[in-house]
Amino acid sequence: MRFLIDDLPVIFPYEYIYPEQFNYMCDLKRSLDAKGHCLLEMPSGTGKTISLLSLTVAYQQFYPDRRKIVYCSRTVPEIDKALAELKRLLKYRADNGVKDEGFLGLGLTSRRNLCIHPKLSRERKGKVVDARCRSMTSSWVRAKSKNDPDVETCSFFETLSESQDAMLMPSGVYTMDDLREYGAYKNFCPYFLARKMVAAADVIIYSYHYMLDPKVTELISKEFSKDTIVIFDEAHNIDGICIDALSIDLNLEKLEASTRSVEQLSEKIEEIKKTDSAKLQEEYNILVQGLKDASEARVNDIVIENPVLPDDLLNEAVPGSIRKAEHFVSFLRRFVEYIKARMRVMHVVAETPLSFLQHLKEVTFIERKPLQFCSQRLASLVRTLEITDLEDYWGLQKVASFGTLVSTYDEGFLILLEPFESEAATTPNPRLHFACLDAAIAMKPVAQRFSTVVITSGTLSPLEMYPRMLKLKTVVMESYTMTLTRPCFLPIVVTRGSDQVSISSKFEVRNDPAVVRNFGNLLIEMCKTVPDGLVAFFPSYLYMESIVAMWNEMGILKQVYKHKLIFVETPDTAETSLALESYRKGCENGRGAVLFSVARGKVSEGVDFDNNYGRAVIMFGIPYQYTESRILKARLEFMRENYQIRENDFLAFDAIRHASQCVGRVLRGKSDYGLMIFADKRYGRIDKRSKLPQWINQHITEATSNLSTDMAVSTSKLFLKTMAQPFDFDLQLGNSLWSEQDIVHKTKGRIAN
Amino acid sequence: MWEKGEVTELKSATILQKKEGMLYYQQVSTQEASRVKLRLLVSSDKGADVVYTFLWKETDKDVARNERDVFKNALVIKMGRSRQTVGTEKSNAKPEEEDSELTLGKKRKANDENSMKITDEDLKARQNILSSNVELAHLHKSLVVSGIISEDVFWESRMHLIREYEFQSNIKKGEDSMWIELAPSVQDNGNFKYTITPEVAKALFKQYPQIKDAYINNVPHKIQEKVFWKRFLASQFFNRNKSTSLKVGKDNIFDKCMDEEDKFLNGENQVDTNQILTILDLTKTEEDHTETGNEKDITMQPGKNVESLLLIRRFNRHSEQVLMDTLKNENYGMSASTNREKMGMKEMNKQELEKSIIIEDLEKHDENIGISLKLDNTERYFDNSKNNEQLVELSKEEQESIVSYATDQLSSIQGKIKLETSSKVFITVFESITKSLRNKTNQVARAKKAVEIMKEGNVHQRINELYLECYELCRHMFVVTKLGKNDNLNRGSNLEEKVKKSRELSEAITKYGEKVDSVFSKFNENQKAVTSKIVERIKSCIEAALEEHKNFMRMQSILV
Repeated sequence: MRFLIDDLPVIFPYEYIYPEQFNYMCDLKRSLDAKGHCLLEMPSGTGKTISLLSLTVAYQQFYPDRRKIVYCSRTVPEIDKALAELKRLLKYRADNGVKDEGFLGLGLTSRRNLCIHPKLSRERKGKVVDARCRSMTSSWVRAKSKNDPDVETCSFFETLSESQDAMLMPSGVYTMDDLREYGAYKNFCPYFLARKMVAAADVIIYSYHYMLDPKVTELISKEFSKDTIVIFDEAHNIDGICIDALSIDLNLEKLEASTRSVEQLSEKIEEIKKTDSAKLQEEYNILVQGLKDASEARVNDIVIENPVLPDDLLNEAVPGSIRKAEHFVSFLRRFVEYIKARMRVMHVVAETPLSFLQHLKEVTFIERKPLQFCSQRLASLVRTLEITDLEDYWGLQKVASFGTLVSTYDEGFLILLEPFESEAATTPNPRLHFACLDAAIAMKPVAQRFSTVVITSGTLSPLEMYPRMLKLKTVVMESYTMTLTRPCFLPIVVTRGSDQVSISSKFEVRNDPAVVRNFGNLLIEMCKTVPDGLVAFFPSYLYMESIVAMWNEMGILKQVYKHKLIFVETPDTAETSLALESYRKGCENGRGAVLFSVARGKVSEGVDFDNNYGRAVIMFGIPYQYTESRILKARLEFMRENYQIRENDFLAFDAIRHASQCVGRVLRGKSDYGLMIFADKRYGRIDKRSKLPQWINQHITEATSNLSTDMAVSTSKLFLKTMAQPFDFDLQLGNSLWSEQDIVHKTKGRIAN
Repeated sequence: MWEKGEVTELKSATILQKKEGMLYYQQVSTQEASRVKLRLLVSSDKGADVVYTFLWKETDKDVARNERDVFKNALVIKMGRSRQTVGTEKSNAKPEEEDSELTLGKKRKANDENSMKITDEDLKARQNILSSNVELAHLHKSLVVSGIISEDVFWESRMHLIREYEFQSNIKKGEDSMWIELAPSVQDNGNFKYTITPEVAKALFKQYPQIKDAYINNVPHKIQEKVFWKRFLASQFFNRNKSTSLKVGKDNIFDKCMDEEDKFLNGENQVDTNQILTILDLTKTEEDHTETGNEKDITMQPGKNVESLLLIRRFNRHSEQVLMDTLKNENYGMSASTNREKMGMKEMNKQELEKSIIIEDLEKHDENIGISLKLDNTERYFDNSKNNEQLVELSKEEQESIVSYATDQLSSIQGKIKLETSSKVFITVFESITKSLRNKTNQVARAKKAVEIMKEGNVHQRINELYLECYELCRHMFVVTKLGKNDNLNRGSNLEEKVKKSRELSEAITKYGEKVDSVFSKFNENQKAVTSKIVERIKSCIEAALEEHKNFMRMQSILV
């Protein structure tokens, strides 16, 4: 269909449109026009991605400035889906007479996911693929290979770098598979092809980290212009990602590896001094002139990324004390030894970066300034020494990043030294946490650099939380409800078992046999009632694992097996993917299956349980974070002091957004239907419920907010029976489904008003 | 061979259990027999007679008789068929039955038209459909068994029932997904006893594939089954999770299984991620970027609880095994794994990706076609209304009194809400609301009353039967009279048959028309009022059919 928003013709690749999609697009356009940021909450499964893409692409192609679109998502499958949607959209646009000439849509992910090198692509670990790729593609290796044919290079990379074509790839939209296929066809390395084309592409789709993690941003997203439209989809946990991007953990293992690397470096220096001392001198000269020149090394030679945000980078020469290679190595050695010594603690120590630096200076005479250059200096040294087996240097890289970060930021960070892994552990396993407490630090440069940042998700309630946490000024902030002809989802709150004992995942009662049994009975009853797929989410891995053991002892799982096959998320990701696929097969062939998974876990992010893959989701308990975590405590304190967000408000907000994210997976489109079961008495309280997204909360009635298991079963039965009836599409028309005429009609009314 | 008074009515050469002989059908009229029976007598020239007598458990004679008729019909059809196919062989089988009202002539008619193409499965399907559907059985009895319509024609328009039946009966019960925990039973002397039945063994195999392999490799050529299970129960493998510290010796079979199990439980079996659908492959996300952030807090680190992790892995494997067995056994439909082999992983990925992005309800859709209501037994449609409260039809006066009462009530609370009860607008609105309400309630009440009347004295059943029968007959009339391409002069025989058939049908229909009239005339006034519409409908149907017959005859005379 084709319609106008103000003067902008939008082509939407469907025959009909949901009213909320249309409103969403209108608000999005407002924000684009105003060149400001926006925050939009749109119900899960109502086609958010396609609305985003349809409008932004229309906007881009219609107005002369052709603003670039950068679309960030959480997971690779979601990126793939977004690419497929884009491809479909462009095809639809072409079929409807809009020739988007020269349009290029691309996705970017790691080497591990894109590599087509016959040997490397078999590796499973991203780190290994990265290191081995670099050992074949760095400039010195390639130079060496010209004289020595035994040095292995990558033919795909070589063909790509030798290609004289200005336009390396024809216009179009490439999904990850398309990109690999095209690479294989042209003998181009897909990863580097994508990296090269990022600057030229009209739409780029990649994961958050490529925009928020400074180590990556510097490489990938540096050249985007100010008017680029940056979209964060599924952004309900964006603060978590911002924080992760600047946090680092060190443990003894990494430190030992660092010591080894430092020794290797010094050996290499000795070696090179004998054979090619001019090289070290040359590096020294460059460093004297300033680091700028060194950083202009070729893209693929940047092997150690800088962890600091671009604005905080020092554009000045490396301090004299670490210019000489051997001096720098001994500098590193001292630093590593210092951290090792600090980690030999018997009790927990928490301190600010400032006091850490002070103590460091007192003990080792390491100044703040040289430490700031730690990462850059290491990168330069690695390049000079032509080190290829970077796999071994991962520990040192972390240490260098830590050094740089700790000396760059004073506020919003915490250093935490913990001697034991957990409260109960008795063998020391010390670790150093360098924790970022302020999500706004990583967000700030993005918000400042780009004129429009769109933050959107199915669950952003309460909306005002995000601008506060991220220090983001928004021009549009909207939450949409779902227009429904028939209530296709039923959220219910189960507060007690059939025996009237209340259920809760509260710490004091969660392992109480009565509660565990009631949780179990709810599961059994729902397995009996719900057809095909059922997904059960637990608040944490720890709780899931213990409750599975208890259920097994109580014979509850045996009962479940009578009705459904059981699949459970495991620590191994590949194994979990397999379980997930089997789960779907179980749903497809009518056998029925139940999947146990964890909120905030691997499965809860980015896997949809639409249609028969999920007729019900049970959220057992409230997925609160572990409040005994010292990092969390520090963050809560920080937020209270700096953003006036109360601890309990944040904890409840954080728990509820993840809970609603889990239950939201059940829907896709309005002909789909599903049950959302919140199993905890605390969901009945108004303070928890008010934090649910409006589109869910408004469907929780008094009658469904305080149910026992047996009442929940009868309610569910009725719901499922009603939903299984054939659904008349025509009833939706004009109401929860708009055609082109409806849009014209409705917007006319709006203008008149 | 048979008793006095029994007359042979049907005779046919058949083969039974490789013995040749004649098949006799005969009729005994003993209406008042206490139980419904079917007796089958097979007598061969060479061997002794064999008599099979089947007594119906069902004490309700009508039901039992109906069921028996179904069997009888099928038998008769079979006899007819073998008579057509086998001419020379001789066999002597005789179904002998009591309590039958049928006459030979009708029966023969039914048999004549049975062609050879009916398979045993079809027959069985028909039998079972009839026995499970009372209304259809009645229709069959009154139209086919009485010879008005032939068996084939009757079923021709009901192919969907047979297909449905076949589908239903082809649904296989899936693999049992029972999760087994071998628990010993305690005997009197305090000893434990484990019982391993084939079912238990099967479940064990599903839980521990390596035990299955061990079993296949060792039993029975190396060790006996009994020994195998004994050793299994004594092995370290079996006793690993037991709290009691048993002294366990080495066992070359099960220690190997144990090693494999350990390897599996520690997650050392690598999963080939290339065989996982891209949109479900979570490793891609995990390896999408360098690791960042602090480690997860203690509650969010998976696999901390080793005991449950082992359990979880075993659950996953068990479910997968059950699923695999199910998919393997599925010969209908396309299972995902075969699909995958057929089109390759790449194509599969592409398809899944495309499927996952489309929102179906936004797409252009065809006119929504409702699902027709299929009732096997329409009588039960009215069952539900039995217990509902009585709705009384309100007369106009009553309604008005209620309205005026309500108006008074409203006026009395005028202090709070001001109502101009006397204004013209108010009165019109109020009246129109009341009117529509009255219509609604009265409608419901009327419908309920009609149902009550229909239930009295079996009116509903009788009308329903009449309706169904007439409808069926007329349907056949329309089919017969429809001129096909082949109905020209050259193919006179076909036409002739049609003419004959049409004539027969028209006679039957006329008779039914009279029957309808006579039934209707016996109803009381209330019943007449309620049923008049449906009777009218039936009659108009009959008229149309007869008209059609006339037209057909005229056409035919022109053609000839």
